[in-house]
Amino acid sequence: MSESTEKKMVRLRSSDGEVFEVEESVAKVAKTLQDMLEEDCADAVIPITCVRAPILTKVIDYCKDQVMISSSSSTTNNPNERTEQERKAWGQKFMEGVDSSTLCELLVASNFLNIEGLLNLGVDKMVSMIQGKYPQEIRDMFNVVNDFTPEEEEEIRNQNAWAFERDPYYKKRSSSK
Amino acid sequence: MEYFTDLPVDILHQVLRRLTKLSERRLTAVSKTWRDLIFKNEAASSSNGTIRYPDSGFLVYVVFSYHIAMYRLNNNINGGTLTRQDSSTHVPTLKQNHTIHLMGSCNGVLFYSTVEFGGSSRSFHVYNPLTDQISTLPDSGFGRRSYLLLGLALDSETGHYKFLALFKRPKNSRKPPWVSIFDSEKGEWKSKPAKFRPYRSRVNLLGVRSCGVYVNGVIYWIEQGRGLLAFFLEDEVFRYFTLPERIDRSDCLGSGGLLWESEEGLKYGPICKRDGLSIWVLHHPQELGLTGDDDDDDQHSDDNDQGCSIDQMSNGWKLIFRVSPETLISKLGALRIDWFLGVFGVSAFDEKLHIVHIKTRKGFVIYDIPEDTVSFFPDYYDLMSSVVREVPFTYRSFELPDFGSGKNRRRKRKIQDEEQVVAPVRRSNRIISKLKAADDQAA
Repeated sequence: MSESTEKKMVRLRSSDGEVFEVEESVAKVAKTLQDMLEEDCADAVIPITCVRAPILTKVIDYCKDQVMISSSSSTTNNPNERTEQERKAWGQKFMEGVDSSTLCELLVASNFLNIEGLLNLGVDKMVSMIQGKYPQEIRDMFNVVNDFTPEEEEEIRNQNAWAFERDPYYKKRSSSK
Repeated sequence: MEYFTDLPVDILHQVLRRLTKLSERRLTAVSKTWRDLIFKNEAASSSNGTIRYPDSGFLVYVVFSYHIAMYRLNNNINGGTLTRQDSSTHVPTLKQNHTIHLMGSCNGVLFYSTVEFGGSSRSFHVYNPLTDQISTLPDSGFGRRSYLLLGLALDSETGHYKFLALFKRPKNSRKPPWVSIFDSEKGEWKSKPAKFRPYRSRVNLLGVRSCGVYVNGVIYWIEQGRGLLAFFLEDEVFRYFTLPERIDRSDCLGSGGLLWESEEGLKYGPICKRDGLSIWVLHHPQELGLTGDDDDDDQHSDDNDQGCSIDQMSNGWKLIFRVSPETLISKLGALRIDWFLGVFGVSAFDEKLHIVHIKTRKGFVIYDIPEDTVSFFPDYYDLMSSVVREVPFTYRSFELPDFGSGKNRRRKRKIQDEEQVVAPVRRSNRIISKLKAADDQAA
């Protein structure tokens, strides 16, 4: 497109060395990048050291969408403007199929780049993944090592026994003396 | 790879805030990281900070998993510094298989409980940092039963104290909760059904679960969604009081504001979205209205939003200080604190210097009004200091009673600072007689 030649482009490098070229407006969705661009210290490639390429792709997708919304919402009555519901649905779709490790990386990335909207989406996703799950399910999902001794775990379960009733994944481990 | 632990603590807190209680409880059994995160988060939201001499510096207590560390906060115009005090003062340190819960403070002493993993009982301790003396209460006999609320009333003249715990009855029992009181003068526990005035058929104290603030013979708690609960040591009766009428508690941040002790009396510092920050002192307790069973919870709040004078009275409370929401947002915003989610309330206020101490999820903020500066003492991750309580630095070096259980430590230290706290005067007699008269009339 001829339009793109007028727009200022920004180059971002992921931690594994892949370089992405995006419009400045897209990069500016990330507050961290916005600050850098405004201080004019970013004419070369901006290294984003803690974000891998697949994650950065996802982040850029999100930013592009934000730019699309905000550029169209300035004119009244336009068809691209989303209702609250649509936005929610879009967010859910965006996060669909994101697994726990990607999610964690996404959260770290959006925290580092300071993208509030994406951070919120990620937190929501994480909450929906954790909500209602039993400890073992959570450990499996997030590769958490159970570092309690059997006694400690029983202790902590007894403190709030109501929350652990009918836990199908938990068998009282007999304490070895 | 454990992704959870790589996440910034901020994000984990955001996740925790949106979880249901059930899911949160279940997370505690996932791993130690999560357990510590959740318990610390929880403890931080129920706070009873006390402070009396911020100009001379005050102490911050940080609870690690197994001990309490003490920091001295030096407040000056250019912000503040946090200095570790361990070199000069010994702090209680526990065996590895114990956990410690710092519960509150009263007249400069701390009280905390310790629980052994797998143990059958909780023991309570009163600790005076100045004399480095620990007074361990004799075994209460109520094991690890969970309590509805706790309170400590310590007489700074004699060092004697009364410790109170309120317990729930079993699920199906219709009897009122019972209260256990330990009197250090007699050295014994006493249990009896709790008396409430006015009588309540249903006692809904679930929201409290915190430690009271002791002022002039009465221990106070904020009861979530209701008002002020007060226990009178004189006749050992619980009474309900109203909070300032202006304060719409559903609008309050945190758990409805925090209470703290001061020489003038009980102070209350809620932060509301509509009203901003306000600090109240309970000036004329006898004028308090009683809240009974029939009382509507939705009290009319005053319409005079603007131009509220500094001497405004409400339900016996006197407004002594106020900061508008706009100012507060701009101040906290400068510190990048999400004020709707991260602020619990005012934890202390120094009238002489006009310095406000605000407790937030991420640490605490000191707002110096005359200098118009805010300084922030963050919750350093390496300190794990989400449990921070502030207690006055200069206080009396009274002796705590010793119950000779052999566990008590006594290490005399030279007292450098002779400044004394004015002993609280027992002024509650008059109030009680008035209330009794009111009770009789009602009956």
